[in-house]
Amino acid sequence: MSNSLKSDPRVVYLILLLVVTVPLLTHSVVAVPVTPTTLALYQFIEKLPANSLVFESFDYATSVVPELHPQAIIVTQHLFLRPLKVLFVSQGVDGPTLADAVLDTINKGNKTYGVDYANLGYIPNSATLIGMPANISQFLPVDTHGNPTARLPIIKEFPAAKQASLVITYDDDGSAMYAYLQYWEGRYGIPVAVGATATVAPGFMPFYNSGQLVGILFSIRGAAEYESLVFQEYHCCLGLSGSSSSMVALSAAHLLIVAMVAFTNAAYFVTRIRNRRSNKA
Amino acid sequence: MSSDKKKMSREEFGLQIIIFGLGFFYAIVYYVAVPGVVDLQAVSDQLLAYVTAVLTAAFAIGVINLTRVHWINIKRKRATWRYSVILLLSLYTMLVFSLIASPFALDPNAVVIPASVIQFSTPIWEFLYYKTLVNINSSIFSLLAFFIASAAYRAFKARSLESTILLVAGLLVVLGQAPIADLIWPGFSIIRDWIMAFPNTAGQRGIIIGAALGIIVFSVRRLIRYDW
Amino acid sequence: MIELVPGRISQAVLLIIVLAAIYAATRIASKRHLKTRGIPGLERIDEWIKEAAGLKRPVFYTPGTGGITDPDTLAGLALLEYVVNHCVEHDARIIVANSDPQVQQMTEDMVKRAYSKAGREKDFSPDMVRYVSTRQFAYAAGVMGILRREKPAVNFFVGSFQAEALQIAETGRTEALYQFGGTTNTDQLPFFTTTCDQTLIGEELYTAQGFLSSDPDVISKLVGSDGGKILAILLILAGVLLATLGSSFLINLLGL
Repeated sequence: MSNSLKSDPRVVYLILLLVVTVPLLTHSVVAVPVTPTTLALYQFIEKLPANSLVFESFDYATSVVPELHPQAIIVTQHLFLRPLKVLFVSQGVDGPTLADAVLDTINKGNKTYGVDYANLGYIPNSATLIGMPANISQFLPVDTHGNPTARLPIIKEFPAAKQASLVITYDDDGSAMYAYLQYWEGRYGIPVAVGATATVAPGFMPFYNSGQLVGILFSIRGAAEYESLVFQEYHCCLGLSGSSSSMVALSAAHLLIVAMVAFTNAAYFVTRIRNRRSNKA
Repeated sequence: MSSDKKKMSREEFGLQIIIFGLGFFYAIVYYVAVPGVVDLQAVSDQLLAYVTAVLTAAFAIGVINLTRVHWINIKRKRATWRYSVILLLSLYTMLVFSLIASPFALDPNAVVIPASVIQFSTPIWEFLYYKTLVNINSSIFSLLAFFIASAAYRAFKARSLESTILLVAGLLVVLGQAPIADLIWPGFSIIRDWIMAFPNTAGQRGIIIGAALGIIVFSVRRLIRYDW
Repeated sequence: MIELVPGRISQAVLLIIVLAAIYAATRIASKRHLKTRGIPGLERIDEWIKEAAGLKRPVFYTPGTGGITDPDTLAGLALLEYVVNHCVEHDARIIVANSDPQVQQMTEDMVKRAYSKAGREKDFSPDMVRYVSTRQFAYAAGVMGILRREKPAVNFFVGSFQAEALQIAETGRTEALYQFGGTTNTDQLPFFTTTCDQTLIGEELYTAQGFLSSDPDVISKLVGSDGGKILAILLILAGVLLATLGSSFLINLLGL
């Protein structure tokens, strides 16, 4: 098999395809242990006083929808289950649309647009990001529905972004997170949390360990962990984000990679021993 | 590489003064304020807005370049001319429907564009965006899983002490990430958390500090064009 | 009245000290004969380009997905200038793929100027410098397509890369003879090191320019950068020691 792997990687691709597809088709589910970074974010949101303002920043592109969209869905649902006010913004062009898609998915309860939440749309440059903590409506004059933001009750209640108790950014490359850390957390002390893809999330650990980030969600697994926490407290929303059903497929893919690496190394060592023996002979 | 030590012409010198001035203005604005006289931050924000406007215009040049290259492909019937037709059709179809029916539509309140046109275009745009663009982008991204699998089995070989350490640490983190691994042994996630919190953080910080210092020197040398 | 912004005073002082340390170290090093390990692989660029010219296969270069304000992209463009000049010198065809339209303008200008300098304006074709897409994975798909169709002899992936790095590097590995990668993105570096023959890791991206120029002072400049690093290490050690002893003096000082 090792020679097949070396000569044609499509063998590996086929095995991986089967290993990922079968659990998805059989809808297998497994319990997910919660990581400290996910728990930290959950507890932070749980402890926010009623009527606190939270910004959700949709800074990912459509390509990472399978990884970050489930995070956005379940965290937004959690925010809507609590008595909090939520403003949606985005530093990416796909953000406003993706925020609307999340709002169409969750149960908004008795929350009203413009009073409890609003989608303020795209932040075009860092000048807007720098200015928003002082005055939101000056820098984002209309929301995604064309309503003047200055007339929205939520903006009348919270005219400046520095009144926010938390910013959660769903970021696929880290650029938005660095911007929030630099301009909002560094200058105004607004706590920042991030939902990230599996490739970039490890790079954010220094910021979490230094206290600059209050929590990190690692990829679709973070969404599944968060979903289990929400289910434990509120007895709802299991399966809402679609992440929990992916955990068996995710685990199978990880275990396949471990098995392939172990197999390749075993074959490598056997070959080395055989060569040494034939050289001695 | 061109040497920067040759004498600058008057035009180059003038340009260099502008580059130097603006570059250091932005650096200084971060540290210095002149309260009651001028809001330096507002000035720099305004300049940045002008820069954004100019840079945004360059996107049009990108579209023109794409159109030119692929139009030449079609005209000369090169080997891949059919794909160029598909590309140009997709580009301009998406452009037209996005201008009419997306969240960034030119006329959302139907002042110029008839409401019936917007109503007709909206489900088409939603189909193109949600059912086509999102899925295609996600599919290309998902190719990464296959590439990582083939890169992993090729790269993780215990040829030396360092590669063995890399192999063991990598496998432990991969195992720790798999939710099902905790059912085998709960220690996997504890080990993964430790590796991420300590060796990984230390390595990341080292590279971040080195790169940051490199950026400072590189940027200063670019701004002042003096090799020191 | 000019004031220093509270919370950034120590940063300003530290920046001045770091720049002074770098300058002082550069001056001291320029008076001594110092050796450096060099950056492996840089000397092979010329050899690879000659081989590409001999095989009549193109040289492919992409500075990644960053914009012109990204330092990695600027460092990638600095190396591109070197590669383009050598491609023109050895008559190797160059293909440059860009994700950012502003970067595309710069790379097109760079390639055009290289041909003009060699008196071969007519050999330049707009096809050599392509804008692919600003969207990350449309760019990745486009680059993968170019690599599969054009089958370059040498691939250069030097600049700012995100998740698309592995896709294009893996595709390039199967199509090209040699690959040269470079980025400061710590998430993508492992993928470059497994797929590329040579990789510029972290700040090597910024110092490569010095090595490739015929500048005799390159070593002293490297020592200058190392001067800044030594200062950072001393601060870290001091901070660790003080924190272990229960003192927050340095933390408070740096927070001024």
